[in-house]
Amino acid sequence: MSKNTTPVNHRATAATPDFDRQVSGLLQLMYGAVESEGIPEKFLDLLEKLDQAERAQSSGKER
Amino acid sequence: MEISAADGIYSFKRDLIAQLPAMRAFAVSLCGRPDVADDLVQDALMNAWSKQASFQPGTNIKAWLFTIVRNLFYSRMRKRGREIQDTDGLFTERLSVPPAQIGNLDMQDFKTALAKLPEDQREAIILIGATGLSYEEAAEVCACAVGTIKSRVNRARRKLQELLSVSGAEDFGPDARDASVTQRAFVS
Repeated sequence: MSKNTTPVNHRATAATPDFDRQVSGLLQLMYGAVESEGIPEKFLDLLEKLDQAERAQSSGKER
Repeated sequence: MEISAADGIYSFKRDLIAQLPAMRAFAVSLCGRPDVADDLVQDALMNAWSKQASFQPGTNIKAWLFTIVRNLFYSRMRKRGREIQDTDGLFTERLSVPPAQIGNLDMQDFKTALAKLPEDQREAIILIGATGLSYEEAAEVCACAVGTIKSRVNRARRKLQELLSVSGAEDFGPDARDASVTQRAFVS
């Protein structure tokens, strides 16, 4: 677990801007790691199918 | 907003694709498991597609989509009980994030602590801390007041601070860590 025990003053759990910034930084790393993965092909395929189905349906209705 | 010249209508599909990375990142952050998150995103895409008529082009599509992801997540959790939530290794084993340390906070410890937050606090701190949504947008996603989001974020931060200092501080004595392990064992 963590080796550096620089105290984060848990006692009062008073707001500490440093801690809050660090938390945001880690959240952004976690979120950003997934966000930058790119889009899995299966989702693009799915949207393409949905789109095609809709177009087929609406052109059917028009006739 | 954006009008596609080709078909003369706003391209909902293009907007969806542009938001897909954010939807995945939000889903993974919410449920802590990439496999479950992708199922969630797939359902959310179909759901969003089926009700695209209710989306007003020019309004915030990210918040609109996040609302769908969030609502699906909770309805799944209700259906499956705690099966997809609150398992050991949530956020940690399956979620591969490069090892990192910010200040004296370690990513592994952080994810363990994040998994222990109540859901409403976890989603609030994720929305505000990571997604780039404003407090107003986060409130829209969670269907609550802005003040509620603010207080949840605040409680989440203090709870994390408490959890993360337990793993490092001596003040709680040698039993502190064992006690938290025991508690978790009872919960799951």
